[in-house]
Amino acid sequence: MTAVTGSQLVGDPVDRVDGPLKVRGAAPYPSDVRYPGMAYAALVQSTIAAGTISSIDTAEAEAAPGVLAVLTHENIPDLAEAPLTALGSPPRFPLQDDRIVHHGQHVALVVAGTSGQAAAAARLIRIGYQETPAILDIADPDAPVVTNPWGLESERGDVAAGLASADVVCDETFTIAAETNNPLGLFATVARWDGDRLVVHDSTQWPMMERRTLADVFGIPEDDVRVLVPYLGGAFGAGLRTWPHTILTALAARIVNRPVKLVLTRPQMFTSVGHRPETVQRVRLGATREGRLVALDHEGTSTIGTEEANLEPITMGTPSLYACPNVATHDRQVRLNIPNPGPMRAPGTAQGNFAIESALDELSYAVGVDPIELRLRNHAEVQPGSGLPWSSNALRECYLVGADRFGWAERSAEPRSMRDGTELVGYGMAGAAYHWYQTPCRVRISIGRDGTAHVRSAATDLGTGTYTVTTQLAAELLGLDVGRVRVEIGDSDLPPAPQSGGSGLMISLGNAVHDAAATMLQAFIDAVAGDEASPLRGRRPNEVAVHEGRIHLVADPSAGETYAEILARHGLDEITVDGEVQPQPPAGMAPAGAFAAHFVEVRVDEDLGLLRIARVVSAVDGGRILNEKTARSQITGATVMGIGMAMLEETVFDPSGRIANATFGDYLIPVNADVPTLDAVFVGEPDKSTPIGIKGLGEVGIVGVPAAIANAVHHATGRRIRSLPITMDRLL
Amino acid sequence: MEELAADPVVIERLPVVREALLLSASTQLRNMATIGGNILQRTRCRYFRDATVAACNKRAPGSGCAAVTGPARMHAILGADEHCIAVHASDLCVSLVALDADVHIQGTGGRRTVPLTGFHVRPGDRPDIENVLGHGEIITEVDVPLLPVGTRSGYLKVRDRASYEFALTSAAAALRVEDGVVAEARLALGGVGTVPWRAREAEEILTGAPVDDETFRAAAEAAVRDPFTVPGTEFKVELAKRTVVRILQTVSGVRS
Repeated sequence: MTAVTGSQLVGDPVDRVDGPLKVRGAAPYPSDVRYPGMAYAALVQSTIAAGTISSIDTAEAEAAPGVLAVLTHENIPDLAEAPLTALGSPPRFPLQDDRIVHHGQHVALVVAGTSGQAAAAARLIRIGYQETPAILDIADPDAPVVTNPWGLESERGDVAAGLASADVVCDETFTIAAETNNPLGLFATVARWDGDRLVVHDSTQWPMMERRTLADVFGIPEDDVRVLVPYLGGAFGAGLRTWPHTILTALAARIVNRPVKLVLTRPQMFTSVGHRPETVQRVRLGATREGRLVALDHEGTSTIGTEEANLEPITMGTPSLYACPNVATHDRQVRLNIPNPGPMRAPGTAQGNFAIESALDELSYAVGVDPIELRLRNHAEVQPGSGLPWSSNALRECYLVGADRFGWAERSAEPRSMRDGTELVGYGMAGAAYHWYQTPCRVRISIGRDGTAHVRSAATDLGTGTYTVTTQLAAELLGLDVGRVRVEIGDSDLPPAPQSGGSGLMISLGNAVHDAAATMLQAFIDAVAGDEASPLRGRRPNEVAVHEGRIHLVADPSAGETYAEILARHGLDEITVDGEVQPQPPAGMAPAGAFAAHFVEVRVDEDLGLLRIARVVSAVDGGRILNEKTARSQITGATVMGIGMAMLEETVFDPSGRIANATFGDYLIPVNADVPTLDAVFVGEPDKSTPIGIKGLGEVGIVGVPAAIANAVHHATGRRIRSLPITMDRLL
Repeated sequence: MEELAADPVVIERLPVVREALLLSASTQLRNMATIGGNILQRTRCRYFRDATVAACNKRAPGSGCAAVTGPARMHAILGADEHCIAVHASDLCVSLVALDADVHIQGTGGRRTVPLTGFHVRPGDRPDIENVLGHGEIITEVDVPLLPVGTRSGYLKVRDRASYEFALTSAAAALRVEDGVVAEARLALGGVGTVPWRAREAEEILTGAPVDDETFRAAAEAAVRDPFTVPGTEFKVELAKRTVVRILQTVSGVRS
């Protein structure tokens, strides 16, 4: 394979190809799907956090107008286990017995002719509980603890000796509240059976995983399950699981023998599709007087449900962050009677970064070295541990370019030394890294006699731009105008693709497209191999190029012909090829994910404890950028989420285990007035780990923003806040 | 609400009302919302609003109060007790109680007028009763007396989110200052009371006192007397006092 030719580092800011459809309200989201004769479902959820159901009276609900069925643990069939995924064991399926393990656990599903009838009947179900004490506090000594849950704990060197030898040691604890993903689109499932074949429209980031899960659970072949999600109203990780409500809806459709639709309510979105778990971290940094790290010990603890798994690798990236000889990481999970957490944008990494980058800021004050200079002194020129060169790493450039754009040089180091009128002004920064991730992916591309290309793969677009950047990349690689490429995704019947998650979709899908494009060119050359009418006859791929749908000789651009001409002359309707990528970490180098440096200015009204973000500058190394506009939106959107994490967001559990703020009125996410001008700039060079040179950008934008804000708050006020969110009561 | 905020008389003579209106809700909601509706809005409490919470004296008198023992933040510290700490979240009402607005009520038996300061009812042991409006009665009119010419007024709202969010604390103030001395004072607090909270004791301290931070701090102390707090609302005691000081500084011109 050869590198992409003629591509600039930052791709054109092409408008979203799905934009017009979305603006007109014509993009079919899962919640928009309707079928004739469709029935509607409503969930009933537990109002205790631990115990058993002692009685469940559904008679009144069953007699209510329009009710078709009431599913409870007493009447549903046994379902087979769902499969393991890359994220671990599947979510616990709640209606298999009478046990309650968290408040908000599904205990019944009502199916009726209309959604109103279903919701009304759901309120008529009378449930008796035998309550047992719930464990709800991460510090509860009775809570079961899982140590090293993912086998990711690591140590290089001798941390104890390193700490003992250090001139300066910072030893601090950091806590972050639980948060909820809160995509704007309420998760919805529409399930329809056609005999033993199941079609499910669902809010999922991973159609292929969902297909396999539903096939396993219902004991049918995978080919008999079709999962459709052409458009998705956000998810931020909440769509990486096949949740019980999806399985229940499919089951209900089979029982009532009609298509069934379930749309979660906003409060149910807090209990049914995961959340970022509460975390406690301890960081110990040892350094020389000059600020060179000699030891780094990182311990991360997160909450988890009583019986389930969750991948929350808080410390996983820590060993690779800085050039430090002695590094150890420790992971723990504490089992509580809470809805099981799940992935939320940069799971683990967002939290781990807050602790490490806050601690580094503390170290910078302890040794009297500027925070950027401190990071430069500890910059990992090669991958720590392995000593391998990075496939790309422009973190140093991120610091310097970001600092320049931000005006970091204007900062006076002393806390409380900068003011504007009566407001305290603070400048803070943090570095960020996100790990490399790529998975197997396939794509099929056809070029038809009208000269257009049709690209398809079972990938998804969360709203982040998959359609657009895939269109752009395919257009570039096939030598077509963007308007002559059509991308079809969001359908498990298409060639298998991975999840849109882990910042790994585009590097996987993009390289599959790259592979398919090379095959496509070979296929057209093969088609004219014996064609005396073709100026391309007998040529090799490296002797030709494609421009605006016309293959021509590199040496003589006047000699060539179009895709359409070749197809027509050979009586072909189209040529179809498959592309595939099997991830292989590149030989002789350490595969690098994205890097970033975030710079934040805050204003603090100290009398009132009011914190406002005045501006954010982010310098990002995402390798080659496919589309300047969608990439920028990834970064600025994630920055807004980071502002929420730093200042506002907190999922509050009350003493009964109920989430006390499960509405948009009570759970605060940033509004426009909280978000200042956000500046994002891309630096670096194409990544060498894959031919297309890109690195995932979906998550690095949130990583580092909370630490940069907390560091700016310290600079403004002299207060070191080690607990998120930083609300005004913490600043009074 | 949006219409009233744009009224020329309100703009000129009642800045405190205009500011309270414009800091409420969102433009879309203000376009639809009425003044009577704002006055009659239910108090806010996330335990009251979730019917799965059993202990709520407002929903079921005598059942207890989950907010007193659970995590609380957007809750009242004045006029509150162990029965109920639901907050009256209106901004507009805070400005209107400061101005001695009257509520005109039409019932089946005739008309009556109630001062807004007496319209909302503290929870006591009957948190389910939030105002004096009887069965079959509606609000027909709200009378807002104009402030004397030369009076400066303003509204300060302190909240977690910069917009589209209820107050943690707020204050409405009107001051008429003559020769560096407060000639007339109006002060009310929001975000902290089970009802819109008129601070008469603070007004008495202000009246006749010199315009300075010492006066304002004394008024603030008087405005937040005998608070009832739970762990999540303790910070509001000091925050409310500072909110009072700040609005008085702003309205008096001590701080621009």
